Amino acid sequence: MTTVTVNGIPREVSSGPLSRLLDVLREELGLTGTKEGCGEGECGSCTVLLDGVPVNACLVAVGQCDGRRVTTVEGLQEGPDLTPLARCLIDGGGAQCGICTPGMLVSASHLLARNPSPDEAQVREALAGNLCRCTGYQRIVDSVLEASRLLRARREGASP
Amino acid sequence: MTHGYVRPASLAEALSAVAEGVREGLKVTPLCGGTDWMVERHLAPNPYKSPEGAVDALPPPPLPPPDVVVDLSAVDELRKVELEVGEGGRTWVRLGAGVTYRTLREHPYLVEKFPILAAMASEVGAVQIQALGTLGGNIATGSPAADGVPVLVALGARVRLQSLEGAREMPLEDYYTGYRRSVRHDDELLESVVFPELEAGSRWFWRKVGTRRAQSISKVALASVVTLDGGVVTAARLAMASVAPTVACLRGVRAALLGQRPEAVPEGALLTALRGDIAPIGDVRSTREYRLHVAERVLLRMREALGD
Repeated sequence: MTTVTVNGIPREVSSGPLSRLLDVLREELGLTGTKEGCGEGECGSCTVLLDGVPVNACLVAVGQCDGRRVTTVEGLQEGPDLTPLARCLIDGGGAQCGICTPGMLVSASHLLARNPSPDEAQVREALAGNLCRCTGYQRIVDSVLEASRLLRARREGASP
Repeated sequence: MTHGYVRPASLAEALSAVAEGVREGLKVTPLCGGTDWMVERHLAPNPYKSPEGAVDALPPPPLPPPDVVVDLSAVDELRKVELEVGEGGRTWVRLGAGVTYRTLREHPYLVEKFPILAAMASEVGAVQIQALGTLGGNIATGSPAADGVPVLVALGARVRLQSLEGAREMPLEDYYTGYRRSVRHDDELLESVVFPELEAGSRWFWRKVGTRRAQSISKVALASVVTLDGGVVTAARLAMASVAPTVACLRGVRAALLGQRPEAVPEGALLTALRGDIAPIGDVRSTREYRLHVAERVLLRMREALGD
């Protein structure tokens, strides 16, 4: 039996240790926010945080997560409302068909947690492992930059 | 032994698990970052399928399903970064086989002393892959398109193989015996790599040519460390990826450069040496002609960079 702390809650996993973390999240734990795009570590749709670091859930055997923390897109939610990052992606046209969006949210939120004031190049590098076939990326990058401004303003107590 | 999966917590336990599996005649697969193996396992045999009409396509590697997977992800000893004192008081650094590309980009000592490693690591996949993929996995997988291997060869790395019986070390350039084949015995684990700090006067060069800047496997990549004294090459190590069944050590090019001023070596002599060192093929990622052309351009670019 594998024990993984998923979004802060310890979960016992009965799938075999070589099952993909992606399948365990979606099929055993019902967390379908994490998407399967390519299934070969290229597209980033299944990006989750493993001990706080972005990884492709399709490349991780769940046995390797025993005793570790996994954060999915569901775990980014802080309350009933959309996070500022999700709001910015919607308002900025950074979310279209939606398949890449959960992975984008996980990668971008990890970036903003580490670097509250990224420049455009840093955003593009943080999202280089997340492919999007709708937006042409510019609107996603702009949305993340807008979110960083919003979050900074909030932190500094100014009105957003 | 349990068929299937074990996740030892120490190197000693891992070596015992491997030895036990081998003794029982099982196929043992050591697993580290999983970036290659997990894809093979779930999408096999696609990654090795040759396109219709491919010229000189490589044969598919032997990939019977493993009887037991020894997962090394909990073995902390394999993530070490240690300094050793070698011959002549020179500092060598030993990296455990489980050191990730992410570590190569973030470890302050490595970033300062080995910018070639950080440069290479930043071009492997993207951050998600860099967090999982390991140097040991890159070496052990043995892909001719490996990014880490040519850089380690350029640095003069030695690999340490360990089993319950003991350890042995050899130059990485002697490790491979053919396409995805190596001198590693089934009961051995690739434990670490060790290489010296760069000598004064050494220049490093890394150039990976892929389809795009992120998430690409190389069509050609060149790594080199060249030492100059008064403008003359006194030492050189060069290795190229994706141009031969294994990462190619450019020994002919090295011979052409040694004792010369790089700019004085005739272009024709350099390229003739290169053609003797590599054997590019046409496959799913590129054509033979393109690879040869790019290999030549990249080598000439490296020579130009030595003059800067």
